[in-house]
Amino acid sequence: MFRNRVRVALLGLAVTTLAVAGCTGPAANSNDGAGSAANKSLNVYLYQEPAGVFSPLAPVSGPDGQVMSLIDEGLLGVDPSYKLQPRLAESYTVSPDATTFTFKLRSGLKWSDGTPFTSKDVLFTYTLMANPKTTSSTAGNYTGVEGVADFASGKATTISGFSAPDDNTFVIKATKPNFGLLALIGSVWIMPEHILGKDAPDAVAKNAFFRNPTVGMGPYTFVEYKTNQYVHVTANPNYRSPAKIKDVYLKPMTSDNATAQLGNGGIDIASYSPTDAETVSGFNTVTTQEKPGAGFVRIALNQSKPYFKDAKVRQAFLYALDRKQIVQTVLGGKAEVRLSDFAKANEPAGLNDYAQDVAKAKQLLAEAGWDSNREVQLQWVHGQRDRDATSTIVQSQLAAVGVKVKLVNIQAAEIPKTYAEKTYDMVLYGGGNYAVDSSTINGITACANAYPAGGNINYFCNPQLDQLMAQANSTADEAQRKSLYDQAAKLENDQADLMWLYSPYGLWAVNKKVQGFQAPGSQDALFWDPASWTITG
Amino acid sequence: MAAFLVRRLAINVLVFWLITIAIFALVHKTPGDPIAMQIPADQLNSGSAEFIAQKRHELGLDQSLLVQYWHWLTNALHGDLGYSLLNGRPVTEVLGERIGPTVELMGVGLLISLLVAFPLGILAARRRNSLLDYGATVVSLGSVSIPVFFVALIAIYVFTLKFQWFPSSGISDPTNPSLLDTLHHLVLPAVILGFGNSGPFMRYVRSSMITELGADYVRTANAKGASPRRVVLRHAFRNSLIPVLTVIATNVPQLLAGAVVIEQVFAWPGMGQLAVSSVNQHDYSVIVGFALLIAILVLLSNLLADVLYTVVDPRVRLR
Repeated sequence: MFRNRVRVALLGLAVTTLAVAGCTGPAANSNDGAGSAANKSLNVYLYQEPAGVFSPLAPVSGPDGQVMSLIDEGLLGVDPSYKLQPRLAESYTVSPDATTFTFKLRSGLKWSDGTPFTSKDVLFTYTLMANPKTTSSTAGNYTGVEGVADFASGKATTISGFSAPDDNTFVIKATKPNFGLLALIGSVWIMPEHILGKDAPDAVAKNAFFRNPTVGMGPYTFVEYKTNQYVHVTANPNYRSPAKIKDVYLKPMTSDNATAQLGNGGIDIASYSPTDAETVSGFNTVTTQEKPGAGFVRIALNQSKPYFKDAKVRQAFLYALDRKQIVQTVLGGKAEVRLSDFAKANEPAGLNDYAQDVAKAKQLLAEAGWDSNREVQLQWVHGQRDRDATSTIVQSQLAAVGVKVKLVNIQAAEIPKTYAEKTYDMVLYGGGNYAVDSSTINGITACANAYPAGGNINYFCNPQLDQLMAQANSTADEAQRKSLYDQAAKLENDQADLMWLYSPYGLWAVNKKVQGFQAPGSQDALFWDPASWTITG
Repeated sequence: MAAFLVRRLAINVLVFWLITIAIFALVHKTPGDPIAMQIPADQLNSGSAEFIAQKRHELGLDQSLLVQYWHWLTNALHGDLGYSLLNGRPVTEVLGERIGPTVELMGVGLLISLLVAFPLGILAARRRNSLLDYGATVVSLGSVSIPVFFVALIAIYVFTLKFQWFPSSGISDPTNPSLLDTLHHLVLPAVILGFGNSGPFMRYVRSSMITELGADYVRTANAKGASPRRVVLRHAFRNSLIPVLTVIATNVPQLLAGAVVIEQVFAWPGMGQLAVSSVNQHDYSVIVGFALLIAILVLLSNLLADVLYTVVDPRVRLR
C-alpha cells in the first residue's frame, strides 16, 4: 500500500509537471511553414529584459526602446552614423534664425490598423510629451517650445508652439533660437490619437495599450510579449515599404548564452562583449560589425567640493591616466579614447589628448596645492566588467601621482541621493548620446543644468562655455555652428570638466543569411530601418 | 489531528502577520530611491525632478511608512498586492506568470534528483564500503561541489554549440511550439538542477538507511525469512523516510523561490530571475509580494512535513 502511495505521488508529480509544461508554451503556432524569405523569422538578442511598457512617455529603457524601434516611428530618425533622417516626415526645414521647424509628412501613410495617419496624430503626441501631467519623463526637453510654460501652468489649453496647419504639415516654434531642438524632440515616436485620444492627460500613461501596442507606424506590429522570454513582432502590411521578413522575435538572455546561440543559429543578430570577440570571429556562420558609440564612459569630479574646483587638478587627474592602455587591456582595443564631450566626428583638430604624463600630473597637483593626505572616494555600480577593471586601474594610476583613491561599490538606487546631497567625490558612469547634435552637451556642462535641474551632476560651471554653446545653438547656418562648437570644444577640453575615458564600440554579430542590418553604436541603441532587413537561403 | 491543524494554522497566521511587518519595513528601509534611479544621469533634464516627485506621489511613496503599510495591508487582505513600480502591472499578475515555468522546472528537477538520490542512496547503504558506495559518494560529492553555473556553461558548450542536441534558452521555440518542444527545452536546465540537488538528498537517504538497516526490527524481519527486497523497501526504507522528508520539505520553498543561477543561464522566466531583477531595481511591491509568497510556502511546507510524518510513521500522532 505504501509503495502504491509513493507511485501515485510520483506519477502525480510527473503529470502535473507535464501539464504545466503544456500550459507554459506559446499558445499558437506562428510559423506557417512556407519557404519563401517573406515568411521566415528572425531571432534578435536583447541584452536585458524589457520592462514591458512600450511607451514614449515612460523613462528611457534600452530593451523597450529597441522593441519600439521596430514597431514605432517618429518624424525623424537617427541613422547609424548619427545623422537625422526623415522618416514619417518626407522633408523638413529650419528657419534661418532656428526658431521655426516645419515638417512635411509623407502622403498616404496609414497606421498598422489601416487608419489614415495625419498631422493631428503628431500634434496629439507632441502635446502629450510636453505635458508634465502625463508623467512624460522627457517633458523637460520641451520647455524650449513656445507656449509650453503657459500650458503646463494651466494658463493655456493648447501649446501655441505646436501647430498642424493641414493634414500633412506640422510646425514647431521655439521661444528663442534653438537649433538643437530638432535633435532633442524631432525623433519622438508618434502615438495614435484614435486609440489614446479619449484619455485624460493624467490617465493616458496607464492605458493598457502601452503593454500591448498593436497599432503603430513602424515596419513591424506588436504581437505579444511573453515575459522574459521573447517579444514577437510581425510585418506591418500598411507600412510604406513593407518589411521583407515576416516575424521577428526579440529574446532577452545572458550574453554568454547569446554568443553560444550565434554559433548554432538560435540567434541571428546579437551584440557581444569584447571578451567574446575571439569566439564570435571563430563562427563561420556569422559576420561582425563594429560601430563607434555615441556616448562615453567617464568619471565625474564633484566640483561643488573646493578641491576639484581648480582646473589644474582635473587636468592632472587626466594626465595621470593611461587611457590608451585601459582601452587595450580592458576592452581589447574595441573602444576609442575620448578627448572631450564632443563626439569624435564633431571634434576639432588640435585638442589636448592628455596622454599619460606622470611628471606633469604631479607638477599640476603641486601647483594646485593638492593635499597628498586627502583620500577621495570613487563610486561606481559594480557589475560591468570594463568599468570594474577601469576603476581599479584608475585607483592605481592616481596613486602613482600621489592621489589616494578609495573605491566605493554603490547600488544604482543610492546614487541619486549622493548627487542631490553633493556628497560624492568621484563617480564612474557612462551613456548619453552627444553625436547627433552637439547642443546636447549643454545638458551636462551648463551652469543652469547643475543637478537636479539637469544632467550636470559634477556641478561644472564655465559661463564662457555656456555662452559659446548658446551662440552655436542659435543659428541654422552650419558653418557658423561648426566654428562656434569648435571653440567650445577647445575650451571644454582645456577645462577638463569630466575625466573622459572611452567610447566603447557597438560590437554586433549577424548570421550570414541576414542582409541589410546596420549595427548601432552600442548594445542598447535603437535599431535602424528594420524594414530593409532580409533573409536569404 | 484537526485540533492540531487549527492551532498550527492560527499560529501561522500570527507569524505571517509579523513577517509582513518585518519584510515591509526592511524593504522600504533599504537605502536608495527606486524612482530616481529610473532616470540615469545621462538622461536627466529640467523636468526630471518634477517627474520623480509626481511618480512618488502617484505611488504613495511620499507618505509615512506606517500609512504605506496600512494601505498595503488593507489592499493585500483583499488580494491586491499593489503594482510594480517598474511597469505598473499588478504584483499578483507578475508573480502569477512566473509560477508556471518555476513549477515546471523545479518539479522536474526535484523528480530527477529524487530518482537519482533514492536508488543510489539505498544501494550505497546496502553495500556499504563497496565500489558502488564509493562511486555514489563521488557522484554526490561532485553534485555538491561543482557549481551549477559551471556545469551549465559546459553543457551549453557541449550540447548546444558542439552537438546542437538541446536548446539553451527559454521554455519553448515560439516559431514551433509543442509539448515535445517544451520538454526539449526543459532537458538541460532540469537535468542540471536535478543533478545539483541529488547529492545532498542521496547522502541523507544513505545515512538514514544505514541507521535503519542496523535496527533490531530489520534483524527480526531477516530472521523471519523476509526477502531482502521486502526488508529494505517495506521495512527499512519507510522508516528512513522521516528525516529525508524533513529535508525535502524544507527544500520545497527554496525550490519554488527559483534557482537563480540556472534560470539566469538558461533564460528561464522563473521566480528566481524575477527576484533578482526586482531587487536590483528596488521594485518594492514585487519584492514584498515575492517574500510573502515564500513565507507562506515555508509555513505550509513545515505543516505538510508534520502531517506527512503521520503517513509514513503510524507511531507519530499529532495532537
